[in-house]
Amino acid sequence: MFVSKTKGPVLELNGFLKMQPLEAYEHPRLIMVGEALLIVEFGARLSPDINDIVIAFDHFLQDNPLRGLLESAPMNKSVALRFDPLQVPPRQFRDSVMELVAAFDAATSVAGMKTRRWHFPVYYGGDTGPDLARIADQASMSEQEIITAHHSLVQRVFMIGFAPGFLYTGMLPEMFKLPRLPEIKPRVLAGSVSVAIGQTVISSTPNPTGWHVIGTTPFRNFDPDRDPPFLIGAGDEIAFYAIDQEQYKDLRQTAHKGVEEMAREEAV
Amino acid sequence: MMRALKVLKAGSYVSVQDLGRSGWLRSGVSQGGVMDARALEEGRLLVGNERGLAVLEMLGLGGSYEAIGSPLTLALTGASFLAKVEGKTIEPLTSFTLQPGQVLETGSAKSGNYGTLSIAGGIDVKPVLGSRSTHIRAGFGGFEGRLLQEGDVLPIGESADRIGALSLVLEKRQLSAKIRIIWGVQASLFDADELQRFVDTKFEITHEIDRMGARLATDAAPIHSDKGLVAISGAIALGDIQVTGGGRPVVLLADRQPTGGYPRIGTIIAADLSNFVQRRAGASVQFYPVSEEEAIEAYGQMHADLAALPQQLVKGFGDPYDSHRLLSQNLISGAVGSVQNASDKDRFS
Repeated sequence: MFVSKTKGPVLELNGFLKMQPLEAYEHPRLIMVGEALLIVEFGARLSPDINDIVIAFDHFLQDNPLRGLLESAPMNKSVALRFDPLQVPPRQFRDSVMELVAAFDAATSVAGMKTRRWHFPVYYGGDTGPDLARIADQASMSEQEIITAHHSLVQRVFMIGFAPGFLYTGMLPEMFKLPRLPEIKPRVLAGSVSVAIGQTVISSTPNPTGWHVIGTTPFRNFDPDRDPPFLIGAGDEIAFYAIDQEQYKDLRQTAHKGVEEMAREEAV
Repeated sequence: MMRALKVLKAGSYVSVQDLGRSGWLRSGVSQGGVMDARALEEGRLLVGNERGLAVLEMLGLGGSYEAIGSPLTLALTGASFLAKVEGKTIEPLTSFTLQPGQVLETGSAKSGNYGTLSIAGGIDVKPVLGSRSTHIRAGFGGFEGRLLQEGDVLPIGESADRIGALSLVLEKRQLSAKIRIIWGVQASLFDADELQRFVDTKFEITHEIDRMGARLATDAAPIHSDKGLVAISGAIALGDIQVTGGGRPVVLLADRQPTGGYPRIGTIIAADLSNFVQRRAGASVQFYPVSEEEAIEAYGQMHADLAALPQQLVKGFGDPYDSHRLLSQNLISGAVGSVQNASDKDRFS
């Protein structure tokens, strides 16, 4: 059994993420998109502190259901609320969200959040990580140094978006703060691990991408035939570890048996 | 014997769809579901289904479908397709029975893009994430997670036998070029002059249309922003109009990516989406900004119209052999008054 529910030590490196200045707005911004989607934005930029508040507010919403709310989803720096404008008109819905925001104690909620950590296998480089060599070249480092840099810091999941189970994680060291590719790759494989702008994205389905593909994982965050179909959520932590091609093949073959042998989960 | 619909020939973009899935945005899954919600409701009433069952959605070209094992009650709504059973014309907005071994042949759409083939009992595929809709790009839901192809056999759910056929007597849908929008928060990335030009421009629907989105074109200069077209990714609404670096707008539809980082200048109001998705390649659209209140009023009106549909059902005329008796010229030409008179006595309630 690889799943450990014991409380593990928080890696020192995690402090790196927490050191960035808090840049949350004093009052969140409410932004309508069309007539049935309300965005509650907690800050202007991508930061773990703001994302913590986003996730805490999403939990708070689930504990305090709003009339008319169809679903909520935590994003990088905002929570998206899809509602039924015929049941609760937008003006009234915004008022009820404002009331909820007033009752929300961000600091206490964030402090009380539990974090899960996933140990996440990546087969770096090779045919399925074609952009690793170029990144190493540009940084004047060896491929191995880039690989080590990529899995040296525990990452957080900022959001799931773009495609089913598609993970946005961060933040990575400086050499991964790369612009997106000028040309979109029309199709990369399910399981692709790609980097840009200091973040890693991991796909569960084939997708087009403008990110630099550095590896592949046998793990699928989305598997419609598995119960539950999604495993990793926003706010979870990810500790990447390197595997070789043989291990990749072995793990891929046992993928249907579950996740115990792959992305191990523990509470931290 | 199994009750089924066999695909003898499929158009290039035919899939199983229903109302879509809710609650999975947090996992990166947008709602999906039929492109034309009005057509789904019309078809549901015509074949007597409960709400939420799955239909076939066909873009541009239908296909040939054979009833297997049991007579099936069907109806075509949405885009108007040329359709025949054993050489006899099938009218849209009318339910008809396909006997086992009989084949429904649907050709090209005469007007509109997305046609809906509703079947009494619904298409009985296994729901995935709470819906039978096909998520084509991710390859799940619907029939084997993909577009339909020759040889597929779709299981059909049980349904009570109907006595006779039904027609919907409706005013012909006006596919207006005027599409109402609500400005988006990222409209502020554009100068006021450019926003004015955006609503003054007649855009043309290109051939790049599918369930994910519709790309628009114009001969005018691209809608331009000095402020840079970069935003941190956030949730995308159904009907959002995204303006990429090239300045050509893309309207994001049912199977859109659920999040994105390109600026969205505005959002098509819910009440005008069915209209918009049925505008064909080459047709023009012009965006017309409205207030939130006006959008909600139009949405409420749309729901009221859908709720009133049962009063517009009339008995009869559904047998393909009787199709010449159908109020066809009226239904197709869109003249309404005479139809009302002819059908009042048969009004179904």
